[in-house]
Amino acid sequence: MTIRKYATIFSIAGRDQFVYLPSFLVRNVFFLIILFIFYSLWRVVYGDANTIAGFTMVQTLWYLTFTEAIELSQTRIFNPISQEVKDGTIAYSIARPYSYVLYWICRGMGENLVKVVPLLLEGFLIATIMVGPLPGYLSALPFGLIVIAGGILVGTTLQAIIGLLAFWFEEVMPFWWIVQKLIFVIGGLFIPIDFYPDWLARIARATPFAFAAYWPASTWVAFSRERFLITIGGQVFYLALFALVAALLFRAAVRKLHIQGG
Amino acid sequence: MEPAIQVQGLRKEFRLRTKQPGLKASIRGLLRPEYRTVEAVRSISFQIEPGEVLAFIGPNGAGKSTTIKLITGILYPDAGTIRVLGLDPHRSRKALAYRIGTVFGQKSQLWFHLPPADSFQLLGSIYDMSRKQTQTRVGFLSEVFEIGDLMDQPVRKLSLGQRIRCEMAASLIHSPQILFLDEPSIGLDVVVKQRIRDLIGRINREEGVTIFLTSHDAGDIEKICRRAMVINHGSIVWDGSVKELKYSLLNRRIVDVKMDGPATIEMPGVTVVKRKEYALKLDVDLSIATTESVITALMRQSAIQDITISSAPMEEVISHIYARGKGDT
Repeated sequence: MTIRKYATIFSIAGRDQFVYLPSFLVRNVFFLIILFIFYSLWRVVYGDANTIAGFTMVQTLWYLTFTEAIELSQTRIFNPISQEVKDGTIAYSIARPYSYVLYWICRGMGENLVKVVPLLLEGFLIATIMVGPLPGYLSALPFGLIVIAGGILVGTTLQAIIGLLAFWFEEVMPFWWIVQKLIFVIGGLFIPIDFYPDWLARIARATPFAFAAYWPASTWVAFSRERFLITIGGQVFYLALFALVAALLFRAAVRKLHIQGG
Repeated sequence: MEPAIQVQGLRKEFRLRTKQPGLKASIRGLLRPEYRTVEAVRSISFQIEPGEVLAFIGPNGAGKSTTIKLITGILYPDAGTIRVLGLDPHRSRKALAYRIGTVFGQKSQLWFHLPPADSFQLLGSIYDMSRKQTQTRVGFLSEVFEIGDLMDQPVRKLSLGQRIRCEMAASLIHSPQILFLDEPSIGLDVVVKQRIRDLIGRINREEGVTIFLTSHDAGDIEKICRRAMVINHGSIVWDGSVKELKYSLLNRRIVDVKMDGPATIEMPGVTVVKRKEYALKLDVDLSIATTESVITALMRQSAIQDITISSAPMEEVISHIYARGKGDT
């Protein structure tokens, strides 16, 4: 019964998202532009080299379509959460028989997964035209979809945490900027982490940010069983950790609400 | 029968952080924050029986919404006890959520781009109802609220009146025993307002739902509620029947009279509000003067063409109570 509740939230959010889909696709001209810039940039960087850090030019560009799809698909759920906290309407939302944090994560994921599908299709077309097909694309597809969904979930859970910070901070946007930039750089959204010096790459690979970009994307472009299992394992680990953090934050937040009023 | 809501010696204070203007004070505030205590609710007690229709009135900041939040378990009281349907709302917030419903005029629980049917389905599953249960219930509600035709239209295409009807149906999906309505008629035109009032009355009669209504609209209170409770500065300043509130609390009558010739009146307890040719509008304080003596005095001067005697409008009654509450503190 309880699972059905969240499944319905997820599917309604997805249905709701279809209304926005046309405007979303138009906005994704950005996706095309950024991939073109990456393409031009990496063509120069690769020059005559066949591979860099084990990645071919084809793999690198496909990698970037995947990381960008993860990033661009994510609804900014910290916005409505922090808004509800600030204007006090959260008081009414938490009076319903569901977990507030889980509600927003399910709602966000419903929207994200509707958006990520066209992004992956666009990426497929653009990358195929620019650098040609990705070897092993189809055989890695089911695994790739799972870890990409996992990556989006890691990012969404981080956003829920950022939204809850509005109980303590007037403005939560800076927190999102920091996390987003960490995902860009440490998480490997702009560049496969393997390109970094070894010591930095080791650290970066272990961070949650890498499990929201590098690991899922690299699983698809350079598929191996081990890589897939590491990705899933890391995502599960960080999701459990973030879920715990979110639950503790929420409890502290409700207590704060009791003291200071809605 | 067990009361629907029972509140005893309820108190709630808030700690607000105060800040003096200026940079120096800002830095001091960071190091050693200063707090000011605000008494939002000061030891109030009341009881509401099942099936009652209660208007909970008060100006902004009077403690209205704090009280509702305490009753629904969102806030924790500093002192006093609350029992809602026999439950401690704070300890059993989730259990209580299944048995109460809320409509907040300014906050929608419907999804903007989807037809109401989808939102109803979602709410049904949030309240752990089976698909079939939800269907039956939605069928019943769409008949009562006459929203059958609206079910498949996106909410964004509905008029405000249509939307409010859907909102009310949405908050009744899980057959709550108590319905909290916060400003349900805000922004509606007169005809729609009347319809909403009829619907609230019908839900109360047919399903025995206890209604707890806050409103700034005197018409809402007069037309729907039998009992009114006025809160101001955290204390209940009036609790009684709406009839009493209107007729006895303010012992005043408005007399509109049209005379055949010139007339004037000077009598303790009577003030002339308006005068236009031979027409007079008088405000009569019944604790000092009687309407009869006023009419007699007028008839001595000239014949009366037309007369209406009415009690003071609800708005005035309420603002009078507010003012009185202010005087007490």
